[in-house]
Amino acid sequence: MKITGLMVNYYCLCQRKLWLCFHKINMENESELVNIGKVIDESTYEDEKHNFFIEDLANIDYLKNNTVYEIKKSDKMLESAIMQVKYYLYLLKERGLKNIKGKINVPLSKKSIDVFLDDEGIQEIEKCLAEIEKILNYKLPPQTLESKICKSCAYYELCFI
Amino acid sequence: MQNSYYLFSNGELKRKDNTLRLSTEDGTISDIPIEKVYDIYVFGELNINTALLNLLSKYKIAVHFFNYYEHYIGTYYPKESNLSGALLVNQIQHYEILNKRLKLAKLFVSGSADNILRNLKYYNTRGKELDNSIQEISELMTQLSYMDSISSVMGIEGNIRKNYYEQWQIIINKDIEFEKRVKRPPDNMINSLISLFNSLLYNKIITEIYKTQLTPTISYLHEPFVKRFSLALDISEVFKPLIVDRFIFSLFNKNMIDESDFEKQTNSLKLKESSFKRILKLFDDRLKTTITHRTLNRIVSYRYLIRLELYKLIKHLIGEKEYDPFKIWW
Ligand code: SF4
Repeated sequence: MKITGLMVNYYCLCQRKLWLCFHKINMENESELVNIGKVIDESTYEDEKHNFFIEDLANIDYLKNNTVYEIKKSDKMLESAIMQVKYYLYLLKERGLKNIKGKINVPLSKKSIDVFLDDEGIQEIEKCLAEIEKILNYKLPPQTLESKICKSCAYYELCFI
Repeated sequence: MQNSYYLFSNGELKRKDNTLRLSTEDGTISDIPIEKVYDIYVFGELNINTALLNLLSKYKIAVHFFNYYEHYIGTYYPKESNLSGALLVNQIQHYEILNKRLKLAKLFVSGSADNILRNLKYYNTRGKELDNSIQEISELMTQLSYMDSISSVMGIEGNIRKNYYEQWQIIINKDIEFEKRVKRPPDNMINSLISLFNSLLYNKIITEIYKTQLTPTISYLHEPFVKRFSLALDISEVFKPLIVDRFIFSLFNKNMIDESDFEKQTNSLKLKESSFKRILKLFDDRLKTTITHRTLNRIVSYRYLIRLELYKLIKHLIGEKEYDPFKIWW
């Protein structure tokens, strides 16, 4: 099964979202949040923007000086972004690129976080990939999270109606 | 906030960068930014081209076309960009397995009947004598559970609607000949309004279905393929009492419409253009009416209630939660 960076991110965020998204039950991109994301995407790092694809598994914002950069619109949910970047490093390592590190930038709050992949991280990723496969094979979507992130999630209505 | 656009003029609609440009025969030009458009209803004679269709597809905007008689002709339904294979399989299964199909068909009818009863009870407490009808319709509803074919469920649905329409002369404070529903051609004011607004509701629902992963051609109560988007017909049963019927009652009872708004065609009645525009605006406002949703605890519009209904259907189809049709709760 092909597991993308976004799927790893969703796995950490909400397993239900992961399932829904994998089954192509997507939501209309109407929410404000999505729009902010777009604007950042289009206006930041204009000159350095250089999407870098690892097959169809990952779309890295840009790769420079042995560093994978990931740009996020807010510093909420950084945990899942860190896992996502670790997964990118994992994918690159599998393809023979060593000594790569990661950096998550949050332009809106001028934050920058370094991410490394050590042995523990590799184990963590492998466990996560196995879990993702398991979840995607469920017949029914996992239960709702009932967390405060639901309030700003595009799936809120679908989940709670 | 995105809006529905209703275009009456004759002329040309084309793409101008990221806006829609409407140039009418009398020389006026208006630009509509594409992000503002939710869906489009075309009543005039418009020239359009592929560049325009490209833009509409990119922004996934459905366009509904009507002819001079305000009859629906068809929809430009941009290609589906986010189909869900898993959902499609489930949608088909619920059609093919009779018990599953019957279950949904009955739910649509009982949802519709609940809302019809809500309307009747509302007027009953306002001094209209509707006790008999309320009782008869309730009885018809209890028969629903014994029905073992789609056509018998349809039959019950037809009887409920027939009984309900017979009460309209009591509900509407006007002396209008209206005993039964005549579709083609609608022969009096009430019939012609029912045809028009049922059809607009149907189009609103098509727009909403398009925004989900549901396939509009697979339906349960109505036979698929009777109309191209027969799922919209199923859903419309549940919403007609709230969105169309109550609207027509208030048009008459608040004296917002009378004979002078209509013009006689050979053997039917048609709204005059100026009246049509005015009433369409009222209808559009009605769809924007908001209420606080009981379970979601969010403010939602009538239009959005339709979308929520589709989400409930999705959850039913994937086997997560049984569909519980929308009930007017106020
Ligand atoms: S609303 Fe909550 S439960 Fe539903 S997908 Fe979003 S985060 Fe998960």
